[in-house]
Order: sequence, then structure tokens, then C-alpha cells
Amino acid sequence: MATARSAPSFLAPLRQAVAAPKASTSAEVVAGKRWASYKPVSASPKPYPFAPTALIPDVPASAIPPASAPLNLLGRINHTLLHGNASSQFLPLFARRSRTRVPASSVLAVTYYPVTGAGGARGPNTSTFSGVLIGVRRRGADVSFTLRNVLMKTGIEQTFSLGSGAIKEIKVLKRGEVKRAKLFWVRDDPKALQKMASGIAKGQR
Amino acid sequence: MAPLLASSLLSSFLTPVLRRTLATAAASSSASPAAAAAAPSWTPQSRRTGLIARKQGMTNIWDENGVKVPVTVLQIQNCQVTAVKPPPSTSPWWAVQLGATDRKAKRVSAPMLGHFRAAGVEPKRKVVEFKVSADALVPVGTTLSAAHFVPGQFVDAIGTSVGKGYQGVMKRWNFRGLKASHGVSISHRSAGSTGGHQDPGRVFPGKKMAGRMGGERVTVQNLPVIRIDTASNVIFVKGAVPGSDDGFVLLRDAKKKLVTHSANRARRGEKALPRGVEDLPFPAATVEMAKDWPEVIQAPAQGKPV
Repeated sequence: MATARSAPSFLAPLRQAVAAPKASTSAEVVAGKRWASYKPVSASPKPYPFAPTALIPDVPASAIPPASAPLNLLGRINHTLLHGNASSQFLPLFARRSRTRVPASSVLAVTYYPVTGAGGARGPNTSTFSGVLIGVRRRGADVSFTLRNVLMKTGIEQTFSLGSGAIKEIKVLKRGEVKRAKLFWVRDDPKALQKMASGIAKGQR
Repeated sequence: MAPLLASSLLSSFLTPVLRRTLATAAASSSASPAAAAAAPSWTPQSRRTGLIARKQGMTNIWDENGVKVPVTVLQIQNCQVTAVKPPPSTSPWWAVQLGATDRKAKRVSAPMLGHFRAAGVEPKRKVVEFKVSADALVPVGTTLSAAHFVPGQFVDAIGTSVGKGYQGVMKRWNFRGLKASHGVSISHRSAGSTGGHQDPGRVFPGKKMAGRMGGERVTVQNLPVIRIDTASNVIFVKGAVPGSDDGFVLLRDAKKKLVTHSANRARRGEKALPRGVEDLPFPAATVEMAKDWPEVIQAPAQGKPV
């Protein structure tokens, strides 16, 4: 059996994530913050006369990798962006090296703020979509995942972007186990999808 | 510098170019105590210098409205002024010559080593001149910062596009080719006819044909500057920029959306600079000046507040 490589030290916050219970009846809830956080430049001690309405990103110190980390400039930028914006709350579930990452074929329930107005305005009301996780897409600072469900005999997939800040909460209803990262073959195999989604208490859906 | 110019003994060694360069350096160095009292500021008729940057890649930034903005990461690698040249008789523009990215002295030719030594800078990989107005001169040896561009302004990005090699007319010139079936033999992706018959009896010069594509200078205009990071001297511009990663990219104030629009708006009596931008560092932002400003500055979202 291959031994798992431990995550580099600058990824330490992921190691400290909540341990996942094996029983499928208990659900983990991870709550998210609303949007990417910025402060107005007028609030900073150093003045910036050229653009008074500019912003300063509110990045926690834990998001910045140490100088000794084996990352090039773009790696450092992507690490800071990923751990500093709205994605950071959900990285224990979706980061590649997280010990508590949800594998494909897990069943998740996502509570999010849907788009209500023109120009991408997201209303104060929330909406919930639950489904089988068929893939996580990781591209630097951009992490998104797709859930698939069958509602009223229609297959529906919804993709959620972690960095958008539109996700309020993710509940893990069932932790899956499958030897694939992407389960696109499930689109042609409804019985397999049903089997993955089975065994969840009605109250939790 | 002034006594050096007046000496008749040395005047024979001064080429016209060297004489002009020394005159410029003398004027700028002697004028700096006086200029500090009346620092030049940007006007809609000014033209600032640009910067030489290196493309590091692309990523995404989410703005305060949760909107994802694709950005290109451009790093300023020790961009310093190596020369200032007065205008030729045919043009009103001065030239500020910049050098970017240090290079080992053993890899630089002897003439260029002397040129960098005269400017008091390390040897550079890339040397480019930018046309500037007479009020926007920068002293030789100044190290420029990413804070030269203001988040919210527009820039033009000039780079050498990715080489595509020898390509056919469909890729190179967007020709439509011929049908895939219905009797077309062999020529599905060809150009078809290249002209008339006996009149004109030739193919016009410049006829679009297959050939080498890419690897040439391309300008992408009017890219908004999204974020500035003065700690690592990085500029984030929205959208894509020509060339591959690690390629040199010239950045300058957008000729259309910044320079021309500002001049027109000023003439109409409106606010000259784009929305959110009140002023531009003039004549240029140095690394010393950038220490007085915040390290990371981002432009407010372009769309309406959500």
C-alpha cells in the first residue's frame, strides 16, 4: 500500500480540518463568508491620492505562504488568492491534499445565494441544491465542483465556484468511495447514480 | 556636467548624441532641487513613459461583487531608466530608454556594458525606448515601480505573439475553405482563386496566402488595470496579453481610452481621467515613492454595485 505524502508545511491549515465521521447519517456543515472581502483604501494608514475609491484586499496572514515555500511568483499569487478569498472556508473539503477532502460520488447539499437581479445581483434569499459530486475542477485560484441530481425524471447538473462567495453552506450527506476523480460516465448510467445517492435519511435532504 | 561641456579639449570627443544626452542629464540633475518645489503633474497633453514587464501567467480575481475577473500577471523586474534622448528635428517627442531584467555581465556585449555603466545600472536583457512629452522626463538610473499604473486606468500591452509556424490560409487569414464533400477534390482547406484572368494577369502584391504566422509584435489596447502589488512589483491587467509566459510585454497608458479620451474630455471641460482615477504618478512612480503608498491596491468593480 502506498504511503500518503504529507502536505507541505505551508498548507498546515488544511491538516487541522475537522475529522470526518464515517457514518453516513451524520452530516458535516461548512459555512462560508459572503463575498471576497476588501477594505477601502481610505481606511489604510498610508494614503493613496491617485484613486480614492480604490480597495485593499483583506487577506489573512495565514493565506500568505512563507518565503521558503517552493513556489514561483504565480504559485505564490494563486496560493494567496485561494486561501484569502471566499474559497478558503471550503478548502478542507475540496483541496487536493486535504485529509478531509470529499471524494467523487459523495452526496452534498449546497445552500447558496442565487442570482436574482440584472448584472449578477444575488438576493438575500438562499436556495439549496443537493446531488452527487461528479467532479472537482482545480485551476490555481479557481476551484469549482459539479453536483448531479435527477429531479422530476430530468438529469440536472449544477456547478458551483468556490471563489464567488455565493455559497453559504455545504453539507456532506454521504461520503463516497470510488476510484475516479471525474464521474462523467454517470450521465449514461442512471442506476449507478441512484446507487451512489441511496441510503440518505429523508430529513437530511 | 556643465564645465565638462564647456571644455574645448573634450568637445572633440563628444559625439552629437553624447552631447545631447549629457545636456539632458545636466538639465535634469541641476533642475531637481528647483523641480522639487514645483513637481510636474500630469496634464491631458502629457505623455508618460511606459514600463517593460514580464508575463508570468494568468489567474482569476473575484471582485467585491463576487464577479470573477480573468487577469494576466505582469512583473516589473528591476526596470530602470538607461537614457533620455531629446527629440529629432522631425518629431516633438523625447525618448525615455528603459532597461528591464538584470543579466550577467559576461553575457552582455562590451558596447552595451559601457552603455549600462554610463547610466549607473546593472546590465539588462531588454532595452526599449518610450516616446514621452518634454515634461515627463525621468532621470537616468531611476528604478521604476509597478505603482506607475493606477488601478482603474487603461493600458496598452505590446508583446511578441506566440509563434504558430507555417500555417494555411484558413487559420492565418480566416478563409472559409471549400466544401468538405460534394465533389471537392483535395482542396478542402485551400485558398481557391488568387485573382482574375488575363486582366490583371498577375497576383496582387500582399495577396493573403499561407505562410509563417505569429511571432510578431501585437498590441492589445485598452486593458483595465485591476490590481497593483508593489511588494513583488506585479501588475494585474484584465484579459489576455500577447506572447507566452516569461515574455517581455511593454505597458503604456492606453492611447485611445486614456490619452485621447482624456484630452477630448478636458477640452469639453469634463473630468479627464477614467472613472475612479483622479491622478497619475508623474513623471513616473519610483520604488522609493511606492513605499509611501499601500502595498496592494485594487480597482473598484467595473459593473454596478450588487
